[in-house]
Amino acid sequence: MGRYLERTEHISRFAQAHYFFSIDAPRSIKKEHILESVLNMAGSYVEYIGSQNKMETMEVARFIGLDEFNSSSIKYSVVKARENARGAKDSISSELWESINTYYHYINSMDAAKFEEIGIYEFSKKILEFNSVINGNIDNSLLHDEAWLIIHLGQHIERTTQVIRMIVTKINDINRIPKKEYYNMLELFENVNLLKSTEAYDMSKIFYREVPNVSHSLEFLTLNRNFPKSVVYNLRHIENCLLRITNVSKHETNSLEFYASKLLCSVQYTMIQEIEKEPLAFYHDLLNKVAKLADMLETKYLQY
Amino acid sequence: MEIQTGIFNSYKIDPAHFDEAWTSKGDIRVHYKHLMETFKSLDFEEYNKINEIAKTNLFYQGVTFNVYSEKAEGVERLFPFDLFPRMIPSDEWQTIETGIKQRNKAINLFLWDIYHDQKILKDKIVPSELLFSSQFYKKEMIGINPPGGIYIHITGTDIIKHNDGKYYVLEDNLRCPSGVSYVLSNRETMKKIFFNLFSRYHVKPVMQYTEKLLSTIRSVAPDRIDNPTCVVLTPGTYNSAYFEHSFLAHQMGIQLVEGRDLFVEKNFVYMKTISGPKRVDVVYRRVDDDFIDPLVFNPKSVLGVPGLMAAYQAGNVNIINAPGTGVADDKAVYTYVPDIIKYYLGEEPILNNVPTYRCERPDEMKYVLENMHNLVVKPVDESGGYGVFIGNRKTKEEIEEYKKLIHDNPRKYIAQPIMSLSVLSTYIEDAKESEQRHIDLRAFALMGKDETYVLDGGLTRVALSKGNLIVNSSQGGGSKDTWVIENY
Repeated sequence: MGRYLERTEHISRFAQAHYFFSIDAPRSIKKEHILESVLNMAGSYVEYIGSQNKMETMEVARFIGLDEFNSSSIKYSVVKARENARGAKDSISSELWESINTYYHYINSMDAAKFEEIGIYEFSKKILEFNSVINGNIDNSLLHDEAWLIIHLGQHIERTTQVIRMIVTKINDINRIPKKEYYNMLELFENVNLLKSTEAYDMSKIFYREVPNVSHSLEFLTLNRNFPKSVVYNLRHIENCLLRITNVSKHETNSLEFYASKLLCSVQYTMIQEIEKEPLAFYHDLLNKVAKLADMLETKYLQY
Repeated sequence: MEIQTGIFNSYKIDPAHFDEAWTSKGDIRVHYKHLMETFKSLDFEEYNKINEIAKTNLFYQGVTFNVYSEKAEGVERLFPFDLFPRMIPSDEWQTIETGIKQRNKAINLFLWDIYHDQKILKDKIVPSELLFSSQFYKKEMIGINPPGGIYIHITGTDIIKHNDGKYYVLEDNLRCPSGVSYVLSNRETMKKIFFNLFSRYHVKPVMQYTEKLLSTIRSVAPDRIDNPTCVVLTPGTYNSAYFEHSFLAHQMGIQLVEGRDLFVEKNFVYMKTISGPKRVDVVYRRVDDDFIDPLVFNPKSVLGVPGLMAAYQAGNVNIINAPGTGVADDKAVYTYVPDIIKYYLGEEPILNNVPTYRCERPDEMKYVLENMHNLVVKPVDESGGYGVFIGNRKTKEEIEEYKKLIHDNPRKYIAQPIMSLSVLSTYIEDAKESEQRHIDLRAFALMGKDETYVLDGGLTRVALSKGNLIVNSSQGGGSKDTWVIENY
């Protein structure tokens, strides 16, 4: 449940940031590239190309937002989250259930005409509001027991995954900019876009007190110990959740908990200069390791 | 003649004014055609709906300003905003941008000169008595070399379009120009409402302004400082421009401080923090010269930092804009800007000045006193539209009263012909329709060590009362988004 909900939030924020970016982007950045970027991040590019739809803003937004046959769409994830909540209704609070169910009905009643009428900004704003309310109910109306820890584990794993996906997408976008006259400005735009997509724009500026640059953004989103969207922050919380569930201080080699701690150590003691040598290779490797962690978690706790 | 519908149903075109969207024959100007299609398709109900969305959006962003009043805390108001944007084709904008850069470059050289060699005074291009009688000339700046030789890091040039279709500079605003936060907030709101229009017109973005501002500020830190600490100094939450101070500090990610948050020790400026004093290298002050340091200027000031000027003179901190820049936007000195451009750059001014009479000159004062009803008379040292006298709107008694003021202190006043500011469709809520209203443009420019930058567009200010020529927010003015468009 935690993973599905978290995914809707990130896809929505990324789409919203890119929606506005497509207005501000210099003419040399083609609108199609921005839409491809959104599809890539949402994991929907291949499906979309296969669907024969036009590369057009509202079409892309509808596909990643409301297409019930697209397994990466927001609607698909909300349906799954609601199913999970329904199955665990006896263990969760009525406040949490109602907020998830309201979210589901909002999405489910949204047809193409209504979506067209409210537009991308209002739609994504609403998604983010639903997520805020649900997150509040998770933290403030549940016992902080194993079930709560499992929900949080899902959220932290998904957040780590989505942030890495955004970083990879933006690195690819920046690499696609021709090294010409407007390179610096375009790099700045893409970088700001990455920070806004991860809600890190304000805090990274306050942290560095400098004009944002790509190096700082990668460092902030990967290594910062106190920013809730950073990779290290979330890996620390994953480790902490696992330790609380098992309630033992020492774990066997190759266990889920051992792997989580090892992954945290390897990332938090990496320097940004090392990451910058081959950033794509680093993040692809990290993405694979987080996926393995998620598989191990599922095997241990969610498969019967 | 175009058919007028929706909110333009009763739109009246006064041929005496230059309407930016309509010709005097009632045709829509080419670059407004697509915009007009969108606006004409809205009926009153639809227009009111999106107007409410815009207002709510600005309200939630906190886009408000304080008006001084008898109440201790002042009055907070939502800055009125009109949805119909002002559009400037990019080739036309190019002239404005180049003109502002030329003007600022010359004025900066002028400031260096008058605080050093004073060649322009010796060559009698600008009368020295005019300069030395300005309350904004600061002798404490004599011989000071600000980092990069830059005095006017941030400027807000007020420009109007006259009924001859040409642009004229009204004022240079070289001290603490306000308004850029409204530009950025207005744009955020407009993007949420008119997404398709932005794509259609390829409107030049404004979002990079705060990054450019921070780069500018950092570029002029004292020498040998690799990672300068920069702050925004505000007079406090009751100041009329406090929204802007906090907005800019937040957007740049730097601290917003009041005078009491800083102190000076051994000619270095420090900020009080919970982990002890932290050295400050650049102060972007939004406090007037007279209040920045009670040890040097107004001794009663509690808004500034005692010892700040000494630290500045020692080269240990930079102040943005430099103290004493106001002398160049004294409205009497303004009249010499075309000569200043020719003197320092050997170029003809790209942007026009409004013809100006200086009351300190007996022959010009005589003309002013005899033609008060046809002139705008302004105090040289006021801003925000305060003290402005518009002759054709005054009674005989008021004119006689104002004449006395000029007689008593001629140096304080200049006069200009009543320029016909261009007009643009503005929705008047009480009348429930669009009407012509006068507008001007405040264009914002930055001057750093490595780059001079002009924000594309700027703040279009609109006088909301019918026939009014004063657009300042403190005088009931509102604003519009300004689109520099590449495709139309």
